[in-house]
Amino acid sequence: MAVATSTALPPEYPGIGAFVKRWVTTTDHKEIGVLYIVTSFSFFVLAGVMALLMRTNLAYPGASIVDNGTYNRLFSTHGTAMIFLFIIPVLVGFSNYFVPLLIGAKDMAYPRINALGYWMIPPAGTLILIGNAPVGWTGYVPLAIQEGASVNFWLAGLLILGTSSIIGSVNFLVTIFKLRAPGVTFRNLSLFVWSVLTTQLMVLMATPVLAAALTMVLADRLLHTCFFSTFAACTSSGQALGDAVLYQHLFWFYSHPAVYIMILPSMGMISEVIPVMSRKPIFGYKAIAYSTVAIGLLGFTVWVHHMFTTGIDIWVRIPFMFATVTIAVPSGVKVFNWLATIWGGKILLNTPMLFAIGFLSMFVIGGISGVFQASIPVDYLLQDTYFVVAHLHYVLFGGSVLGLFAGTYFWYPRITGRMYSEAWGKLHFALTLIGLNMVFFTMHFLGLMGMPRRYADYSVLLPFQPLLLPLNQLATVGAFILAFGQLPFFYNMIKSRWVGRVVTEDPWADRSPTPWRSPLEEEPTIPEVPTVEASPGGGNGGR
Amino acid sequence: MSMETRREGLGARLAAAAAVTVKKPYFAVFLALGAITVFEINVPSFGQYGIPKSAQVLMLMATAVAKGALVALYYMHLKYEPLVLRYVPLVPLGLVAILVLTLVVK
Amino acid sequence: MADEHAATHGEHGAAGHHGSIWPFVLALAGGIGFAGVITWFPLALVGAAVLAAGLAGWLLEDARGVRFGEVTYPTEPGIFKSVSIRKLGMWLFIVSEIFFFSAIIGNSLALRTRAPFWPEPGVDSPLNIPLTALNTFILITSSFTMVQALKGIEKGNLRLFRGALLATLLLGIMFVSIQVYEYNKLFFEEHLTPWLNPVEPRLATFGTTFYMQTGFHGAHVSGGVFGLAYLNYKAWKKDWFTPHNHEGVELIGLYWHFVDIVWIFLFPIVYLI
Repeated sequence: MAVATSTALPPEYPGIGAFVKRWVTTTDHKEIGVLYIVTSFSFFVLAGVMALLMRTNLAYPGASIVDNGTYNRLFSTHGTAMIFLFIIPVLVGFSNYFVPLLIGAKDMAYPRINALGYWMIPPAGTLILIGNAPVGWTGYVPLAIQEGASVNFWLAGLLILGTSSIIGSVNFLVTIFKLRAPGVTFRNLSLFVWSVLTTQLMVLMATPVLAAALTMVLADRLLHTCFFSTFAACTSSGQALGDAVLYQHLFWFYSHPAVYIMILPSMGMISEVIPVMSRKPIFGYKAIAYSTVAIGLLGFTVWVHHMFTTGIDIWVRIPFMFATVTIAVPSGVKVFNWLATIWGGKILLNTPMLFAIGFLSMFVIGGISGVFQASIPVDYLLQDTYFVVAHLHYVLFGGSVLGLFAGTYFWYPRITGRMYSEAWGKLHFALTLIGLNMVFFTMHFLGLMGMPRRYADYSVLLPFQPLLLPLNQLATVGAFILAFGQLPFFYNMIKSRWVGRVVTEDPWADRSPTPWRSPLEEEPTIPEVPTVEASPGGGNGGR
Repeated sequence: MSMETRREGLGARLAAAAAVTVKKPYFAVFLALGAITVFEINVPSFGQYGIPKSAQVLMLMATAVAKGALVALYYMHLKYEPLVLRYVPLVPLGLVAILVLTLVVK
Repeated sequence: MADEHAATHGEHGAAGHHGSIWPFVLALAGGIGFAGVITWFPLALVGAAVLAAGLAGWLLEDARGVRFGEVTYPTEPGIFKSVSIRKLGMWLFIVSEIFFFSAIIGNSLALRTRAPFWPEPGVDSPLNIPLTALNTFILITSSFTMVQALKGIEKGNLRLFRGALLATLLLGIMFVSIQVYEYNKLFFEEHLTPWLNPVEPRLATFGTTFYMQTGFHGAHVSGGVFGLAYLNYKAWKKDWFTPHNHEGVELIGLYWHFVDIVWIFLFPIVYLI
């Protein structure tokens, strides 16, 4: 309270030099978490503006506001930024902040490497935005070899992000395995921590494969090697030496697990929010924990379903189709356990809970449309249409981002020590849910009508499908509702940081099994034990 | 039963384990690695004795796995580590096998 | 630098966190250096210089014994109870490296099945098997000297420890030198290039995969040589490593043996098959 009323500058507001120094040199997991979250949300705004430009262009046939080349750059950087610069790092940010707290650790295992992981993101983001490469977020070859120098920036940015992810994953895994306070076991571990554990295992094993693939594309571009290149420089007696399909294999060996890397932490957040707001212990703790790990492992065995139309042998495709359908089982287990938790609970429909329920319903739509496409013959028809765009946005926006919002509101008082505004939060939820369904549900129909993704102009299709025009316009209106619906969120988050009601105790303490205290008071969760002075040989080489 | 005593117990056991020096056959492993390598270098010349290429490849893969296992078990001490640490490099090998197999099959 | 720590230390209050500018410097150096590689080469040199400074600063903090995060309270024993924090970290890092090398080797094997021509070892292959066999022995021997160094420090035998560590470093340098010599010979005399060249057009895919696989292995050996050099420096600091406190030796050793294992697989795959 004193903070708000004091006229002299409280210690919270030192000079600008000290402020910069504090944030640039910090190795504290909470501060690094905040840095991740704030940085990622700024990339969210940028990539969102790009999406609005695309939707505006599609409201009318023809290149109405941007030309085709610009449109290609827009959707490429939109995808790259949303995935690699927003969803993945923002979830790492929340993991950074809350994993040590939830396991009773003082910090991450390697705090300095933790800071290094964060600081790689701004340079990488800068490179990706400067490059603005028109090769899609997938960077498929041969296009990615053929295009101009902008692709080099894209590759450099992603390679730096990959390095950041790998060192971060080692850090998270060691923290979760080794730094749990006495009594925090794998039988009572927070479900959010379970999801981070699985996520980071996937990051550890998948990201190096992406790094290898991108390195080989860079070599093909800069040194004219012949990994994936099928151009004249790599053609010997009429036969192309490189193989473009190999890039897709390596890329999706990372990028399919990446889908789960993006959604599992959100599922973890939901598993934290739902029991508190339903005032019931989580239903099926073990089932949720084990299904998380099952999704993690199965997630590595499905990547070929992104490549059903590339002419791979049918006997390779069929096992991948079965694995893809199988992965719906652990996902379904989770959904029913969440529903069973809510069932008969004393439900508090506040903003985090609304977003959690939004997550549940949207994730079911996105998940089931994914099962449709897992079928090889259906995939032949839907490949590269707007149906795929609809599916992935239901999973990533309807799933990951709604779950992220639930977690953001739920943990906001714990991070800032102040309460967000419930009214603005509910407005944010309503606009988001309406906008997102208007823009993305419409895309299912666009896809089934044969509208291909990544096209700036659909005027040639209009004579055959006149409905494309009104449906595209509906989607564009939805996109604007969705985009402007995020303004209350940012207003709420920034304003409440300064004027929100100060909370010193868990606002839902009556509902939480383990109420917390706000950061305004130090949290003595760890039993204090005298520090043992370590001899230098223990060193901390490599930290 | 406080946490402290449990910790001391663990520490004492670890110290005891360190004190009992297991005889580690570093030199024998070194000789084995060298001998296998001498064999490996001669495999490409087996063609002249009528041993097909596919058998040579299998031989070389077997020797490589044997050498890798020797280094991992003895030089990287996996043989003396708790069982669970042996699974850390082993489990990913399954996924790696799926990846390499899918890549090679056209 | 010392007072900088005092300052940041105070700011973080009771938690006792040390701040460090070096993560920021290293990440910035990486960004500048990479931007230089893809645009204007002198910029890459600037990046490399900043990287060297950042690395030096990072290691100096380490050598001074500044600690970032330590376990000063009992933790749940858990499934890795007798594996130390840093050893588990190293093993997990090795897991990520397994995936990196598998992707490269798997991709190279796949390209081989699609290539119209592949040279036979001992028939038309440009590779020098006796020379690389020597290199293989050098790497195996360096693994052996590495475990001797660990044995030395475990028993408190400083002579063995320092001698074996120095031998490992020298063997590592020898491996890299021979590889540089081999590259030089292959590139300029055998016309084996990573790209398609008009003199030996049939060797294009072979060259591409050869340089990628051995090049990344060589880069990892070079990194290991750097780590060994740092370890040698620490080994001569009085009482830095003791019979009861020498985890750094074991960790660099783990990395070194892993690089050896990669070579154990690369040697038959690249040279003998």
